[in-house]
Amino acid sequence: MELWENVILTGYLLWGSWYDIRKRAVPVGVLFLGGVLAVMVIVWKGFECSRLVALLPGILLLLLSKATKEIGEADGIVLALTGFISRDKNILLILGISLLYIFLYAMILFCRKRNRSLQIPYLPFLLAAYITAWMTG
Amino acid sequence: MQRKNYKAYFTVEAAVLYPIVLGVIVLMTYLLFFQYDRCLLEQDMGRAAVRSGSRWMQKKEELNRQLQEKDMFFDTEKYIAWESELPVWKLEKNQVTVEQTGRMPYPFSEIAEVPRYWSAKAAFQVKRNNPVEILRNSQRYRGKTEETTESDNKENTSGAVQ
Repeated sequence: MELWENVILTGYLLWGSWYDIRKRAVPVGVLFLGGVLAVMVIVWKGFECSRLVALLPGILLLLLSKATKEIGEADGIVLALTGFISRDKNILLILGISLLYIFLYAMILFCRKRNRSLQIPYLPFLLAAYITAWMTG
Repeated sequence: MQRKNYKAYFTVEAAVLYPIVLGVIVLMTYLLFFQYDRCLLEQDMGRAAVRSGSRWMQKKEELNRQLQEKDMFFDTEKYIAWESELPVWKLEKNQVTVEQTGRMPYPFSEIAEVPRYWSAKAAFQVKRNNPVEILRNSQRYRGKTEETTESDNKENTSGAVQ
């Protein structure tokens, strides 16, 4: 059952990443589907408080996006949904790894192009981090 | 007009700054937790040492039981993300030694195959109070103070006569 959950979430993040790489944006439909997945998880497995705690990193990212405009709001929403579905056990780890990956990529990009306002899609890194956490955990 | 797409990107600046800021915050939080746990451990050990130093029993078995059931029993709920080893106490030549080691995993240490830890150890040594010795000392002290007050009184009165 856990495997199916991981596979579905990986597929969802892959789909989001596809849009993110192409347009630097995510359609509302993708976010809506994430919401449907979250509701399905509640119906299937029941509600747990740890799922609410797991929303916090995503909400933090969403607040940062509202405050600074340097981050897209869809990143926060997708991270919150990922946390809600995968619970609090892994979400901090996933956030940490994804930020590490994007940090390394941004450093390479900055060294090569010397432009700090370039836009980098976040969801592919979130996907990579999710797979890393899955494989190592 | 209804929105069709939500932005989903990090600028290079944000991608460099946020991980650093978040990393510093996480590190600070972990260090604070570690310090908090270490302080609690020292306090618990210190209290256990003082308590076990003030017990006086005729039989060693009785003392063992007393120490292990009451003095070396700690409330572990108050520790945060802390793994404690069993406390150790020794009684040698009327000296009680109490020690315990605890550890806390590194942030994100789940990724590593062998998890790494910050660890802390607290050890205290106290001399046990012997009731007989305390009574003798107090008698001696009382005797001394009585002598000194008498001699003080004599000096004062002789001073007053002069």
